[in-house]
Amino acid sequence: MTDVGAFLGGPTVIEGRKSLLGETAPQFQLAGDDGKKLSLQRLTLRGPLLMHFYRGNW
Amino acid sequence: MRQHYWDIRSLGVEFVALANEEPDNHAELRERLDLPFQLLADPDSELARALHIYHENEPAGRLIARPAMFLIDSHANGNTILWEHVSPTSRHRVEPSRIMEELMTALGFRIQVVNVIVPSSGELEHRIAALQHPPLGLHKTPQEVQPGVLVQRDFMRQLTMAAHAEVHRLAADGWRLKAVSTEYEGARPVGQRYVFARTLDEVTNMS
Repeated sequence: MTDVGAFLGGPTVIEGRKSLLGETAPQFQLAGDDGKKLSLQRLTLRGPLLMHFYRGNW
Repeated sequence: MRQHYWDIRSLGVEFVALANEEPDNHAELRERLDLPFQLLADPDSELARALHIYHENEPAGRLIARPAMFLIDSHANGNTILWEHVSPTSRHRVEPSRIMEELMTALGFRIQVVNVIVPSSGELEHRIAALQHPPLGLHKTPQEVQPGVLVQRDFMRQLTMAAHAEVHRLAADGWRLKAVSTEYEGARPVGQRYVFARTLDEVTNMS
């Protein structure tokens, strides 16, 4: 594969934060807006998942 | 993120938004914004902590999760973190087109996706009417219409024709039509979105 990092301009480095790229995502069980718990396993049964931690904007 | 939800879903990727919130607030937010995706509550920031995005920031001393995105592989593939983007500050925004590009690369796709939005005739008239001054309907003869208004009118129509032509060109050039959906601005339908894709090659990503 080509050098993806160079192509994308490299990852954003944040001081004191270790990248989790390539690691196994932490398991979770969190309540959805309907109050029902959703697990990582459930959300990734059919394919990959994009999780977006938002701060008041979309 | 809302308007890019379907772009992300077209890659076969599930999408959820998370925040340090209570589920009740999320129910209200989802209904008010009519969001097509789930909002997950991380009230104790446990997950944010586990993902190393929990930090002390503005306003002074408040602990909060940084805006961040994580692409996690399917359960069958071991839930590996394929891609991450963590914003250094809450004001930091990433270009949606860049996110799409990075997601496709992380997923091992070499595909190009083009979105064409063709305004509906109703929307076109709505926009033209909004540009008219004085408002549409007061003019009787072409002489009474300000030249600039006519230019705007023609320009809007040309844009629509160009969008139509682009849809036909892509279809004729071997691009595959992946999705057609109604484009909304709030509750108002404004046109049709055509999503075309073309595969360059597929990189096996089984490492």
